This record gives sequence, structure tokens and C-alpha cells, in this order.
Amino acid sequence: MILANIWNQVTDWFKDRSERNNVIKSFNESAKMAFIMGTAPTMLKASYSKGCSAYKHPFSAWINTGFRIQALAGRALSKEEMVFIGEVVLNNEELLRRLVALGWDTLEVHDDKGQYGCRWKLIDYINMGIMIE
Amino acid sequence: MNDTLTNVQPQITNATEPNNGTCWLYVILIIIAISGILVTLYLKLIRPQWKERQKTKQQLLQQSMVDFDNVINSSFAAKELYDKLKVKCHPDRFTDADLNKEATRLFQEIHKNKYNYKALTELKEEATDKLNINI
Repeated sequence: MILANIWNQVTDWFKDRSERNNVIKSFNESAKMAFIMGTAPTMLKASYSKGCSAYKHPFSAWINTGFRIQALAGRALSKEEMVFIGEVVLNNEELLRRLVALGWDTLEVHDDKGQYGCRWKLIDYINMGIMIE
Repeated sequence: MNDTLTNVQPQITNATEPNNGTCWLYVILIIIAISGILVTLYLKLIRPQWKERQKTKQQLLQQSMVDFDNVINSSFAAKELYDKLKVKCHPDRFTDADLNKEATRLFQEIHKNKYNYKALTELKEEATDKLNINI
């Protein structure tokens, strides 16, 4: 019984990892297509980042808790654009819930150079209607 | 003298063997006790928390699939469309009572979907139809 539970936890962890990779992959695929089609002037790239330990919540993963969106090619992002991209993600309830449930706790939007960017604490923007501690 | 030592050596060895056995028994008992404590902690604390988290997580994930194309389009095109719509659909532009009411509703919807390009595009179509304006 205990072994079965431990096994379930291990398989759940791998499922979560797979789902996290799918989110990153889908985002990058859409960003790439939008850049190729010309609808987006900047090619965005989503990736894992270390995240901010102060933003942890009960669903946070052990490592790589940051969801980083970075400008990869095309023109550089202005600060207003970075803030707007962050707001788009934070106002997309489905995406936000998915990010939180899959263990991300920090959203980062960065320019292509250095560490210049913005970051948000995801749990502050979620309205789940269910109790979490 | 040497003979005496040779005779005593097996007795010394025999005398120390039971002590080694007792020591290993204590080690095994300690390991069993620690394992018991860990299993109890797992059953009482970790497992219920894990189950609760899994349940909540399933509730969170039971959403429709995320439209990433809309997320990317919204990131770059929503602001421009929102700025255009909020000017064209402002209720103050419509003096007719019915149109003003409709414009107020649309204006609120536009503001609510400020960051959603897909919803703004649908609202643009609706505004064109109902308010008779060109956007």
C-alpha cells in the first residue's frame, strides 16, 4: 500500500514534468509561428528559471520555479512592452492556473540582454475560489 | 609464557563475540524504530497533504487548453486594438439612448478584455454591427 502510494507520487512527479515541458514547448511554438508570420515583431522564448524563493506557494516545485519569457530575436522590448506581456499572462486565467498548478511561482519577462526585466509573484494574481495555505 | 597466551586467545575471542552480536541487535532495533517513525510521519502528515494538493491541482488543471496563439497575439496587438476601441466605442459619442446603453455595455466589456486580443476582435465586430461605426 505504502509502496503503491510512493510509486503514484513518483509517476505524478514525472507527469508534472512532462506537462511543464508541454507548456514551454507550446508557448515557444506559438511565438515562433507568430514571428514567422509577422504578427509579432519580437520572437519570444519561454524557459525555466531559478525563480524567487520569496514567492513560494504550496504548489511550488523544488527547483526551477520561474517561468521566464525572453526576447530572442527581432527588435528589443521596451519596459512598457515587457509589463504588457506580463499583464497578458497574468490576465489569462487558464494559463495562470496552469502555471501555478504545475509548480511555477514566479513570472519573469526579460529583454534579450542581461538580467534586465520584470517579475511577478503568480499566486497574488490567481483567483482560484478554493482555499490554499 | 607463549603457551599460556596461545591457550587464552580463543577464550578472549569467544568472550567478545556476544558483545558484537548485541551491538548489531541494537543497531537493527534503532533502524526499525526510525523506519517506523518515518512511516508514521508519512501516513499521518505527508500523505494527507499530498492527497489534498493532488485534488486541488486536478481542480486547477481541469480547464480548457490554453490558447497560446492568442497569448502571443495579445502581447503585441491587444494594446493597439484596445486603444482604438475605447475611443470609438466611448458612450459619450452616442447621444441616442439605445445606442448609448449598448456603447456603455460594450465599453465595459472592452475594458474587461483589455489583455485578450481574441475577445477584443469579437467585440470589434459586435461594435461595428450594433453601433454602426467603422473601426
